Formats: sequence, C-alpha cells, structure tokens
Amino acid sequence: MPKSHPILLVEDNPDDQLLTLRALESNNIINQVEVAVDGQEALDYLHRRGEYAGRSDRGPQFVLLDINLPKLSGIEVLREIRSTPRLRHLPVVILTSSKEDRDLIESYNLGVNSYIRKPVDFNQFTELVKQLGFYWLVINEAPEL
Amino acid sequence: MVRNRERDKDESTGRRTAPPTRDASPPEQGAAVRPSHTTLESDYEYYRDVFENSPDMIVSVSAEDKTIIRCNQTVVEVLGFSKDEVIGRPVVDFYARECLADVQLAMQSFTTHGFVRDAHLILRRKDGKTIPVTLNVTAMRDENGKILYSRSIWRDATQGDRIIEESRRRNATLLSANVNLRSRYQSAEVMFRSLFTHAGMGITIVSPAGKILEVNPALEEILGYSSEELRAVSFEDITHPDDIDLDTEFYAELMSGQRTSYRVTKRYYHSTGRLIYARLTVSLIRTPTGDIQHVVGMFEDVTERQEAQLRLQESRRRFELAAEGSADGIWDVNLETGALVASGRMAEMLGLDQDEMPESIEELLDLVHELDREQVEETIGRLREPGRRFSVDCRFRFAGGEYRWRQMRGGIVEVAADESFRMVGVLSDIALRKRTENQLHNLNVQLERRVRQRTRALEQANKELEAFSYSVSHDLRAPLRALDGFSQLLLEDYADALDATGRDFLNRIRGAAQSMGALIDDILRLSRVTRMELTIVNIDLSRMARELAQNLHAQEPDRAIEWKIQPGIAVRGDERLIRIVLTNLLENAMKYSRPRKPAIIEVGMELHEDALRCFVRDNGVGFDHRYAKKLFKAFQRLHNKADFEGSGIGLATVARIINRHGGEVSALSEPDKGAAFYFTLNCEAE
Repeated sequence: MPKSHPILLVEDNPDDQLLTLRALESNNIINQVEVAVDGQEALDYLHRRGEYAGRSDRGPQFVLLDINLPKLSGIEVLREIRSTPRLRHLPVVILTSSKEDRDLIESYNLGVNSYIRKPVDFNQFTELVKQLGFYWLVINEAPEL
Repeated sequence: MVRNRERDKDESTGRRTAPPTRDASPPEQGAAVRPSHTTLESDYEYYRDVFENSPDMIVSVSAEDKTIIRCNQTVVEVLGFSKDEVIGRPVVDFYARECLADVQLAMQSFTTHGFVRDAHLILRRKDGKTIPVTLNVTAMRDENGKILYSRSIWRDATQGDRIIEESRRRNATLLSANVNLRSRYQSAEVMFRSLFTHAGMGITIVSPAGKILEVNPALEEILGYSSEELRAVSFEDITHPDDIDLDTEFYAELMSGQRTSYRVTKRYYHSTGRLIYARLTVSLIRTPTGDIQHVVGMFEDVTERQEAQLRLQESRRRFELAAEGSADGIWDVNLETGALVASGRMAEMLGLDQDEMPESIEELLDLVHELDREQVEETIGRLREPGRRFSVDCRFRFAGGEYRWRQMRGGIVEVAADESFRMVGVLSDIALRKRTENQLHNLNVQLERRVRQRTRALEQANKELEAFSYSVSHDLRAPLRALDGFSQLLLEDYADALDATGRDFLNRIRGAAQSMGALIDDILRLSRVTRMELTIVNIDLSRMARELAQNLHAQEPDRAIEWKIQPGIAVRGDERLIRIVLTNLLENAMKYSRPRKPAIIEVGMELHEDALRCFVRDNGVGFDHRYAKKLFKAFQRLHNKADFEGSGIGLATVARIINRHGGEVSALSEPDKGAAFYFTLNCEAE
C-alpha cells in the first residue's frame, strides 16, 4: 500500500500544477501533495522553516522537482538537499520540460534519483505519473526522514 | 784484394804435375792476324794448351742452368774427377757445403755486375778433401750483350792463404778492415737486390748508351710490359709523343755533369693502350773513377693523383664560374686565424668596394646591425663540428647608415689537405623576402585580430543561441502541455456538454499542440547538432542500422518491410550524430514506403567517383528530383502533411551533421520510383 507521507511537488506554472495533481488523482494516488511554487519555498518546507516552521507531518515521501523556478532553480534546490545530511537520501525526481544536456548532466552530478521530461501529450503524462507514483510510493524503499 | 800475379803464376807452375800434351809455341804478337790455315791451327793448339794446362782451374758455366759446359785438364787433376764427371753437372755441386752462402752471394754479384772478382770459396775434391780457391768470373756475351755463359777461374789458394795468414799477422788491422768492407759490400748487394725487386716504385737501369739493362717488377706492372718486352722496345716508343722531348735538356745536363738528377712527369702508354702519368726521376751511377756506369730511372705512377688533380682543377673552375655567376656572395673563414676570403659578389652585396671588403670574420660581424649581432655570433659560435650548418638572417650596415637584410648560411668543413677547420658559406640578399615577410606578418596580425573579433562575435551569438534554445526548450513547451492537457480534461470531464464537432475541435487543438511540441523538439535537435562538439570514433554502421531498423520496425510491427543491410560498413564519425542521421534516413524511408507491400529498405556503401559513400534506399513514393536541393533545408517539405507527417527539419539536421563531418549529402529519386539518400564522411576535415 502507498505510504501516507506527502509528496512534494515543486512547480511554478499553475497549469502544470493542476495537470500534475489531476494526473496523480486520476491514478488514485491519495497521498497529500504539498506544492511549492519556487525553490525557496521548497527548501522552507523541507527545513521546516518560515511558513512551514510548525509542520508536524513527516516526509516527504519523494520530491517532484521542476528546474526552471523563480528565486532558486531546481538544480540549486537539489544541491541543497544533497548537501544537507538529514535530507541527503531523500528521493528527488526532476520533472521538467527540458532535456538539455547541461541540465541532465548537472542533475546526475548532484545525485538526482530520476530525470523525467514532461511530454506534451497529456495522456502520455498521466501514464508517466502513474508509473512514477507506483515506483516511488510502492516499489521503492527509502530511509525514513 | 791486391795480388801479385807474377808470383801466383810461379807458384802454380811449380806445382804442375802433368806435362803439356802437345808442343806449344809461345804466343807471338801478331800470330792471331796471320791468315795461314796452318798458323790458325797452331794458334788453336796453342790456346788449347794454355787452356788445358793453365795453372788455374777454368770452367765455363751455362748462364741458363748453371751447369758446367767445359773444363780444363787442371780441374781434372786438382779435383780428381774425370771430365765426363764434371761436364753437365751444376757448378754448385763442386763447392764445399760450408761456403754455399758465399757461392750464392757470388752468383748474385755476377747477375748484377756480370763479373765476380776474387771471391774466396772452397771446392770439394772427389776424395772428399776441400781446397780453398779464389774465384774470378767473367761473362761471355753475344753481340747484344746477352750473357751466353760465364767463365769461372778457380785458383788454388792454399799458398795464398798462407801468405794471407802472414800478411794478417803483419797487418791485422788493415786486413780486418778489408774483411769488414767485403761483408758490408756483400750485404749491401743483398739489400740492393731486395730493394730493387720489392720496391713499389718502378726502377730501370739503363746503360749510358741507352740500352735497358734491368727492369724491376714494379716497373713491369706500371707499364704493363715484361722486362724482356721492355728491352725489345725503347722507352721512347711508349712515351706520349708530346712528352718525349720534355727532358732532353735535363738529360744533356745530367750527362755533362751539370746536374746529378732530374725529375719530370711524363705520359706513357701502358701495354693496354691506357695513358698513364709517371713521375720520373733520373740519376746516374758512376764508377769510383767518375765515369758514368749506369743511368737509373725511377718511375712513380701518379696517374690517379694526376687525374684527381685534373678533376679538382675542373671542379674548382666550375666552382669559380658558379661563384662568379651566383647571385649570392661566397665566403670562407679560416677558423684558426679568423681570416676571411670572399667572392667579388660578396663585397657588392655589402655595398663595399673590393678593397673595402672585411678580411676577418670579426670585421665582417662589425657590419651587422647591433640588434642582430648577438644572435649571429651565438649562431656561429654554437657551431663546433664539421657537418653542422647554420642559417641566420641579419641586417648589414651600408654606407650612409642604411641597413639591409641579408641571410648568412654556412657550415664547418675540415679541409683534408692541411687538416684545418674552415667555415664556408654564402650571403644571400633577402631584402625583398624580408619586406614580403613583414607585409605578410602585418597582414597576419590584422587577420588574427579580425578572426578574434569574429570569434568573439560568434561565441557571443552561440551563447545567445544556446540561451535561446534553453529557454525555448523549457518555456515554449509548457503552454503546449496546458493546451493538450486541458483539452483532454475537457473531453474527459465535459464530454456530455460537447457534440461530435466540439470534440473534434478539441482533438484538433490537441493535435496541433503535439505537432508543435514535435516541431520544437526538432528545432532544438538541429540547434544542438550545430553546437555540439564532435567525438570521432570508429562506427560499425551496419550494426547501428540493424539496431535502428529493429526498433523502428517494432513501432509499426504490422508492416511488411524487407531490410537489406550490407554487412561490415565501417565509418568514422560522432556516434550520437551519425545515429541521428541514420535514424532520420530510416524513418524517412519507412515513412515514404508505407504504401509498398513489401517495403524494401537498403543500407549500404559503394564506390562513387573514387570515394566511398553510404546510402539508404527505399522503394517508396519518391519525389521529383528537381526539388532534391530543397529537401535539405529546414521546414521544406515536398509532401502534403496529411499524407506524410513531419516537420521538415529531419533532413536539414542530416545535412547539418554530414556537413560537420566534412562530408556531402545528396538524394536521387523519381516520383513513384523510390528514393536514395547518399552521404560521405570525411572526419579529418573538421
């Protein structure tokens, strides 16, 4: 059974947020999805500071991270996660429009767990989100945060 | 040795035992000229009596085999052999063993001089006893001077020896001096003979009258004639006609005693007809009384030296001609003295009169521009060994303070003749070249500056392009996802509110969004292909084609496609990019052969106009060849979108990649007759 910790979705584009949430929902993934709209907010959530200072829930289970973000880019968020001992083993999946080499290589250099390019075709996207959820929530075992 | 002939005779007479066999009249002056037969006969008898009954033993010895031809009665009596036992035997048989060395010396002396005087030897009698004798030999010659036989006279020295003993007692010193003299004479004789025979120099001994008496082996070899052949001709016969009289004057002076020898180089004809050069030294041997006894000629074959000298002269002449005609100045420095010798042209090239020309290397270097001086001195100074060469450009100061560019080239040579080390070389006028070089240099500097500017501009443009495509890849696709995603959501969530036309519109929106997504991907790929750095490796194109064919076929598994992939196609290129090329071409081939059953798709390599080219061929719908060039430009399509999907960027990408590989791409087709796409790769070009 899917674990009940939340999923962190870092996405600034409201259309993409909505489509992603819809794709998760239509795949019966019922985990709570926390949405951060920029890199800074994502780190605040993970470090339980600022707006998220008092959050008591655990997790997240994994992070869906866009690259092109206001304030701090997805690459910088990933770097911060990997250099923070407590967060170092957190599964991070880059979910982005680009598959430019420099993004791809930089992400892997920083230790990303997966790199997914968002397809234009929504049906394909839905299928992809289904597989992602199934893999990271059901199949994969990760250390507790 | 001096002897008293009278006393010898008396003593011998006293010893005689056998009486004369006939009556003999005493010799009379004039008897020999009396023309009467009787008288001649009695003369013969007389001489025969004298011969037979001479107190001395007389034998005639053949010049050829040294056997005794004749002997007198005294021999028979003294030695105890019969005449038959004596005649025909080698004369050497009659000597005692202990004196054989002396016999040998006497024989050599005879060969050399034609006589033997008072040689002290020992004869062996038939009864084994020995008897000391003095030997005198004279030669009997024919009218040509050839020795016919020798006449040896053995005189019993038993008595003589006694007297010598006394004499020795009386005057030991004198005698010992004489003995020394004799042995020295004999050993000198041996030395002379050996020298004569083994000398490397040709030697001839000629009589004052010009008759060749002796020729040594070296001379035989130099001239190619045996001594017999040489005696038959005269030297004049084999002398080059122009050289015969070269030494006439010297010879006369030699004969008249004005000079003791002379030396001259003459040309002779070798027996093979070849001309040889001989250095001839002519001198005289005189008797103790000063008469001319022999003329000695010594020949040294100097043909090789002479020829080498002629060649040297020739080469020097050529060199001088070249030096005169050369545009370069030629110089030669003696490294020990620093003395400089230069061709006339050299002074001209330095703007100097001949008499102003530097006479040492230091003076020459004084004329070099001070900015170049150090380099020139260092270059020349570095040169230590023969065979090394240098070349240095420098400016020389001319009258009026002007400087002109010259090039000094040279090297060190060891002059074999005097083992000195010299530096020789040339001075060339490089003023024009230097001017051109300067212009070239300036042009290069300008060009480089321009290239740097362009490169900077290009780099800037590249960066902008990269930033542009980055943002395109991120930002341009997001709206498309929204278009497609929300259209889909409309279809799902509000299907009831829409009729078929409404749903069709939504599907068209989705289709447009997706094809724009594909278009963006293609543009990005084309842009990436342009920017990407190539990594050239060996590629097995056949294997790559088989893998791609399998993948592509898997996407349309229901199609009947016959793949003909030639095995073993090896090329060099960037693997990722070549994969893009092949993917594009195979996709095209599949796409345009879709109406065919079966579709036939070939991949191969062939020789075309002396170059290998790869091809992808299909039996599809083909295209009008007139538009082939348009195919490879971005967004150019030859087919209706409704029939064959595609952005029109695939072949532009192929062309761009092949272009970056230094190759060429082309296409051949006719409508409905299939199409062939060709490409060559030439990676070393980039």
